[in-house]
Amino acid sequence: MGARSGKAGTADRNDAEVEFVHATAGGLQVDIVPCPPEDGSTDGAALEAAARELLADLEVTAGRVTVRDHAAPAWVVKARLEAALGRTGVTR
Amino acid sequence: MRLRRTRLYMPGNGPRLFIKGPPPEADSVILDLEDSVPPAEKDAARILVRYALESVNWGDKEVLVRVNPMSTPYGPADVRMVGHMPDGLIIPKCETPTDVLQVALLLDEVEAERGLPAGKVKLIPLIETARGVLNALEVAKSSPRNTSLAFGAEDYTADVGGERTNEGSELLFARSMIVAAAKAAGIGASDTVFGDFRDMDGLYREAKQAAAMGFDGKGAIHPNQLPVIIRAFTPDTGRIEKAKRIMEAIKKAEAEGSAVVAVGGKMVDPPVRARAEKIIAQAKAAGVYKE
Repeated sequence: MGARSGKAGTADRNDAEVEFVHATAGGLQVDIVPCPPEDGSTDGAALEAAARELLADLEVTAGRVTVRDHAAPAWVVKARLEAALGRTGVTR
Repeated sequence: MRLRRTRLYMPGNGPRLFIKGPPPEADSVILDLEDSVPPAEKDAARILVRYALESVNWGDKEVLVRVNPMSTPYGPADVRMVGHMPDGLIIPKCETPTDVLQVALLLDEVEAERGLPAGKVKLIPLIETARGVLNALEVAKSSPRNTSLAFGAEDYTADVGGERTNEGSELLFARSMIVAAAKAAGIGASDTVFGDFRDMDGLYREAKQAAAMGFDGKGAIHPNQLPVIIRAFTPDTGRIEKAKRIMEAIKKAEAEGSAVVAVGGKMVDPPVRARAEKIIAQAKAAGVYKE
């Protein structure tokens, strides 16, 4: 196991800042935070589904994911989450 | 004929530029993992590029990835993760055939592991040092995967201790060597990027000069540069009409059993015919040829 938490991504338009914090129990928590908060374009449910799909692929069963979304498509969120996970030692 | 007039660099560490797909004027796009990505972001950029290659609609564009040099820890990791996915890889700081073969051998492994046809992914060695220029022919001939040589003027100028000028005479030797080496090896040649993306006159001048030297296209760092480069690398009406007259005269002479062809009082010899055929092929590929 590497670091307890990892971050990836930027606050640029169409990107996402993603943080993953490991946990040993308690399941998975995924929070999607639109940035700016009044931005209604974010499809939070689709982004959460994408994040959970990746976590399942990588067999991550516990931890907290926070996605600060800057109008990113789902594949960008997955890419940033995979990089954040990689920085904690979770790789394909 | 596949046109390679424009190849647009896009930094691989941010999705903003390639999220909507490539601009229509780009013949090739390059997702860059090298100079535009700081060391601390190499891992995340590699992953982002992998998802972009899978997810973005690239249409009929030639999609390339510039990997890091194999002498760094990043280069082999780049080839292992995304090497099999694009149409080709650009190998930066290429100086010897070994630099190409290291990538080619790793690609052989990656393609075999994934059950892909051997040699599917092409290579474009980027020549940007004095040593690379002097070894250009050997580099060009080093692998059947090579489709063209590319030139990087900024690093080259720094390497020889020179200075970039608007007039560009400091690049003449290197550009000539690269074109000659590429054509002798039977592959294409792509000219360096033009760094000032606001100076469209300077860009046009340099692109026109590159086209006259035999380059097939030029790199771009900004989408606004693409139409200017296309204009420089597309034959104008006068050249197309002249090429048509030459080809019509050749056809007529052949039909009459004559080996001697003249147009406008000038003999048409094999190089003139070859140039006319190339202009017509370029014009047809660019959609500016009218029967």
